Amino acid sequence: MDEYSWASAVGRIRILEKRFLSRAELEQLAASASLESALAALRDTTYGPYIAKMRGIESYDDALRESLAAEYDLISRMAPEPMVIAAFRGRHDFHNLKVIAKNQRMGMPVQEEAFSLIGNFDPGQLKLWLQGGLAASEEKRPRKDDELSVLRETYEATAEFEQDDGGDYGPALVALRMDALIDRAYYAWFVRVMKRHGYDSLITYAEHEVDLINLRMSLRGRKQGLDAKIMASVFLPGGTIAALDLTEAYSRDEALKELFKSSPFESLAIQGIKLTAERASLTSWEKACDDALMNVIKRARLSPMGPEPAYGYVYGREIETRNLRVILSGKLSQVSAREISERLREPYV
Amino acid sequence: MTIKVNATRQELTRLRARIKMASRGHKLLKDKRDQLMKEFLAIVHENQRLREELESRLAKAYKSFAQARAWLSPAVLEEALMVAGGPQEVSVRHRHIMNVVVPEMELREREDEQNTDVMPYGLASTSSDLDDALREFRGILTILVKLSEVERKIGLLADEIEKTRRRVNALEYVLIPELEAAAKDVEMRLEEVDRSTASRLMKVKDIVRAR
Repeated sequence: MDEYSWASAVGRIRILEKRFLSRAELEQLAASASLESALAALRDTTYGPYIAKMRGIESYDDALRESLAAEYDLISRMAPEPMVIAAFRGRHDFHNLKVIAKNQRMGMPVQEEAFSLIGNFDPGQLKLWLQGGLAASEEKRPRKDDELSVLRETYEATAEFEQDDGGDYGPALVALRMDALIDRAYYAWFVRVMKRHGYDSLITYAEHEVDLINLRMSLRGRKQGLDAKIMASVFLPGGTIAALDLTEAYSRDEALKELFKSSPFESLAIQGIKLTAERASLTSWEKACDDALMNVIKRARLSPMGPEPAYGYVYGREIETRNLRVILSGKLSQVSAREISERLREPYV
Repeated sequence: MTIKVNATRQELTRLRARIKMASRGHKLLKDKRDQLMKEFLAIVHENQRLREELESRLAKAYKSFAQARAWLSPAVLEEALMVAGGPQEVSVRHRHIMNVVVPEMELREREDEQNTDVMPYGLASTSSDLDDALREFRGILTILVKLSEVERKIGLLADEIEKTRRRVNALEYVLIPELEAAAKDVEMRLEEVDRSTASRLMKVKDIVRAR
């Protein structure tokens, strides 16, 4: 932990933060007459160079992805402790691990389009490395060897899971359990990295993120009729509420409410449980969860020193990219500006 | 086309028997056509109801899917949908409606997939919109199977109604009128023969009486 080493980076990030789109700007984009006009309006923003390179108006996803990757690279370069950023970015590598592991299990060629190209590692290289295709001499282990070893351990665990499986489950449940295994590995590592660096607000953020994901998963699991035994292998470790406690309280409303009683997400838990009991849509509630997490990050951002502004910046960029995707895909499907606006998450600035 | 028969009493009896049989067949076929029409209309209404339900549920499913697609990155969506839920089994039985063999299809739950609401992806990086969309699409699959059953039934019943209608018309407008015309012709010829025999007998009687 070296808060002062972040001073220069924080200064630069404060300037970079001005490039974020405000809520008003996002609303304005949502109110554009068409996808073309929304893209034209984006040309005057930080997304301009990527929009200009688009081959067709529908390839906005590529532009958004390239922009996000560039932001990650920029922040990683200026971060004195790049692991803090790499831990967040690592979720894209673990996503790629899911693709590799699932393809391996089904014995089909890797679906390139399922790879995320904004992780710490190139997905092709990662696949070769995981499957032992890279000779030791060729193997370039970057600084984040910690992540690589977790990736490899998790990959090997998915192979063992395959053998242990014994065909008792249908393909859907096997896929769910494989993804859950990888998600658990990622979040365990993510929280570990945050704790190792010792920045309280980032630890709080990581724990809150795990808590909120666990809450969301418990309600979605109920809707899907998953039993507590399956959920025990789905709940993420590392939150303020232990996965074991969540498993025990999983099927009981009152017990679940009790678990979240002392957390900042008590009202969200009550609201979510009510919606699930009514079999109502969780769309707006999930937005409220995302907004609650954004508020945690926003509080951390106020820190004058330390990695929080850098971390908040990449998180804010992720959310902004998603908000832009909501707007642009909404424009493509001719969704009304009001509906698009309702779906937008709380922006970082 | 007219029916050519010998003007004999035996032929007349035979023709009358054929008319009776044709009229009975005509009535039966008319009843069959009416019953088929009744079944057909009920199935058409069922088809209409299913189509309306399908359209509204498709709209709902696509809306949820569009929401999920907007929030999740294409890579996450591709990864989530990499594994299909597994093959589905459709059982087909057959039923007779007025001698028409129609299929009855049913989407069977797989024994190894006890919980059909399980989605083939992890819950941590996906959203409930995707669950809703997939749940809707799965529900739609049942409707699609039912719809294909109903549409097949409609096709088969429509063919049978058309066939029966042609037979009824052939009996009503061709065979029965021709048989009746033939019978009438035979009757008239037999009456003519009777009249000529009677007059011949009267003439013979007059000749005998004159002697």
